[in-house]
Amino acid sequence: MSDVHQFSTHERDTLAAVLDQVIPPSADGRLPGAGFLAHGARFDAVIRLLPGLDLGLAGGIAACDEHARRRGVTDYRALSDADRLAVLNEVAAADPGFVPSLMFLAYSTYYVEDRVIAALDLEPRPPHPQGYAMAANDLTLLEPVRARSKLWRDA
Amino acid sequence: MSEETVDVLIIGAGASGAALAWSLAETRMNVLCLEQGDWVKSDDYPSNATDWELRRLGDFGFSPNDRKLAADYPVNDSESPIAASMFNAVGGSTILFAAHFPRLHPSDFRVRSLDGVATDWPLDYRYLAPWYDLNERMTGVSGLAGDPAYPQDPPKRPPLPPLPLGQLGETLARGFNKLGWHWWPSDSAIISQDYEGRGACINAGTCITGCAQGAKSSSDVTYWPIALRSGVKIKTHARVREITLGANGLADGVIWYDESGREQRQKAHVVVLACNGIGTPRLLLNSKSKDFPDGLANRSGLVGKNLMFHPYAMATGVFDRPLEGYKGAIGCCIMSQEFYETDAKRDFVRGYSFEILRGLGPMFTALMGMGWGSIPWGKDHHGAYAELFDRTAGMVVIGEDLPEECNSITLDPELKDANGIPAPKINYRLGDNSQKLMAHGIARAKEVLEASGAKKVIEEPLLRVAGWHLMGTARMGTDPKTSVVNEWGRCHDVKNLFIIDGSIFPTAGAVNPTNTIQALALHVADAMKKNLATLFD
Repeated sequence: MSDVHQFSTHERDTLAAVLDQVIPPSADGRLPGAGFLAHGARFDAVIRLLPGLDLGLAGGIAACDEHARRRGVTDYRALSDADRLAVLNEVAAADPGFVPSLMFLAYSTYYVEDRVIAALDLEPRPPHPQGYAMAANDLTLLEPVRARSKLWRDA
Repeated sequence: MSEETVDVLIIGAGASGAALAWSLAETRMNVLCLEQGDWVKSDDYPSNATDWELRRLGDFGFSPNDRKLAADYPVNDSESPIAASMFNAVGGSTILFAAHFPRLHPSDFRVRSLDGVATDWPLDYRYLAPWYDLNERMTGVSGLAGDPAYPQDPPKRPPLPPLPLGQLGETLARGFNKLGWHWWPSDSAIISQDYEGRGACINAGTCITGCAQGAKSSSDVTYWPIALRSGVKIKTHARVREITLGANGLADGVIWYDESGREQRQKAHVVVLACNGIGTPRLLLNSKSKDFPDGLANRSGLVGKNLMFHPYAMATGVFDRPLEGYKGAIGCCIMSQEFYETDAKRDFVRGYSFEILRGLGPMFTALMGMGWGSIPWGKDHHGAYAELFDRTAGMVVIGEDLPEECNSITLDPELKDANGIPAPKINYRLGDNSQKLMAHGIARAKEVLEASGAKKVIEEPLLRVAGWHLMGTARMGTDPKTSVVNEWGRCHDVKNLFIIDGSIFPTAGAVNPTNTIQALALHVADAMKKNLATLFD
């Protein structure tokens, strides 16, 4: 689709700062913040999935900058971490669709990244062709079911 | 333009078209199938990459309205609480199905006689049992004999042992046992051992985005390869617009569009519709003529009427320990039919099945958690995510939907596909009986999950995405006034036009329909072969 909003470098940088508020780095440092997603190829794919997602995000990013300027700084990224959170909450209150859009973007792309998968103690590999080993069934669990009389109706 | 007149023209290469094509191949008739989609190759499937879950939101999603692929046609489902789910390819919707493969119960064929609702089928369980047997052998069904929910005479004997229950399945099995309720390993169209040249399931857990392993028995890897070797032909990227009538009142072929959008014609002595419960009435309603001003084979007025889905509700249990739920066939684990049959003590007739799902992958854990309001953004995100990931077990209620004429497929007056063919529109509402039945089911599902040790249960009373099972829109029966096809799938009004997909179900039962759809297709093919000399009488 050619009609998707083309995000400028500034917009992507701002979005990265916002996404780091949505999914911040974990306290133990194992999981990264979601900001890196703003510059990834999957971002460009995901914004095409929902109609209006691109413009909703672009509008929210612009609003974050605008709210930042009201606080006397040049743009959102110039804010302290605490003020970034406060501004994001202000923008979310004024535009109820912005945070759900951010969450969709972050949640759908963050948890398919190899570094995130590895940090969840999973192998960062495709499910196919290796698959997963599973234990044999314990069919003794069926003994009480086998002992029951028929459940089906005569017809 | 094709000059050749084929003996049998099948429209649609999904579950039923494949089974019928295979069966007819032995006749050495000239059989051709037109399919609007393409073959899906093993390398095409999302499970070959780590971001496989993401493609559930795109080109391997359930809804054609979301995918918008060249093979898809739009469906107006704005007037329905359940959205249409289907896939257009060789293999049809079996490409994405979860591969549950149960049979109907004997009572499902006698709903009017037993419960005073809907209508009886013109055939019964005992008649269909050999066709189920054949289909299960061809498919390679994994399961376990001896289920007390089914008759033992004739016995149901899946050819392969059941798929692994895993920690998740055994946890819920103990919950069912605590309540004293029925459960049984699912009959699954997934091979648990190497079978007929295909490699066994590797428990990748990606079934609903297709199976790169080829262990899931989508009909492109079961019936079609044999049918093609036997001389049946498929044309892909072939979208049929309408069925044409000859001067003798018989169907004489179809008009279709090739990949470049050029109009083509194909003549045939017999036409078989295998386009699913939405695509088939769409095509009939779009095939109007002087003799059939309301759509082909529609003198009963029932083409497109009596649409049945299986309404699905879902309960998800959150446990306090890992369940390894991302391993194993995602939909096929345990089925319970404790509440399948009518019980006069309840305020509804008929019943439902429970199906235990596996857990969610990393990405869908996040998205589902977002939808449930369980995984917030911000500083509490990681902690909340850790509470859910690999600690959930899903359980669906699949309810019997009764046929109602107000639930229908019509042609949308404005929406069209890429070839300008009117799109189908769904008008559907959940009936009173279905609502009571689903409410009962979700409450019982919660009991199972709590008995299994869930510390929290999230309830979703009706899944919008779950319009997988499309039935009833050209139903079978012996009376031309109250049905569209006879007991062997032949249209009452057009003697050389057959329908073999879920459209012909008079009632829905409360199990996944693919095994029954294919068993019926085998039965119809057999009837065609036995009646070749008098097929058009």
